[in-house]
Amino acid sequence: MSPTTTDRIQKKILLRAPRSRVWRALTDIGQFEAWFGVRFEAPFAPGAAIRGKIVGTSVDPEVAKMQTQYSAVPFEITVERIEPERLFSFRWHPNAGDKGTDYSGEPTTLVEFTLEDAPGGILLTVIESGFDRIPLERRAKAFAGNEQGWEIMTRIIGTYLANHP
Amino acid sequence: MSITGLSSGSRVTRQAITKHLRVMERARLVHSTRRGRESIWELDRRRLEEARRYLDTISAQWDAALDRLRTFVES
Repeated sequence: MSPTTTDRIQKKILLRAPRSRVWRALTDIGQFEAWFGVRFEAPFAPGAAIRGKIVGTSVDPEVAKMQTQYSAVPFEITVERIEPERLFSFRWHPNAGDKGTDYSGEPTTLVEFTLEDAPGGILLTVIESGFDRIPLERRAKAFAGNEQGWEIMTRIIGTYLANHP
Repeated sequence: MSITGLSSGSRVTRQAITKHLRVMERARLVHSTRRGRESIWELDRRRLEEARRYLDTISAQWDAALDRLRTFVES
């Protein structure tokens, strides 16, 4: 299946820091907690399913306050790949912010962090993909593209059927 | 739009389209009215707006997280 525009979110950011610094911030659970705001129970390792708790970022107290409203919501990632100082990826349930909903049986999205050298630092690319496999009703709430009305809906139906034969 | 209109030029069958329109109807993204023997389907623009806002939220969450990462690694 070729990726569609409704399947992924991509972000790029230039970080003015050494590669090893960026890598540790992404893959050391203590450092990940500091900026992201989730505390994990075990170190990241390929294939490992690791539970976390939303504790709030230590970078921004205002954001931390908002995040901790969700501290009771279960949080889990499954690590996919760790290629030292180049690529880190995991799967999770996108925006699974409703503690009354059991997301465990649903497909996950893949989050990939890729590091590249760039003038002045490291270019970090983040891609979250797999939204096309999220159930139709969930995705209807979790993803919509440009205002293209029926065209989008027809495409979503087509993709849904291709993935649910 | 009618089912006939929606299925023309598509490899998806009328039955499949109807089935998934019902799913979208339950998600309140579309609604239908009867015109004679046919159902006429309409998109619910307000729900689509909500859906778009929800996606924008995921995107904005990444922007905010990466901003915090920059603060963290550049300090």
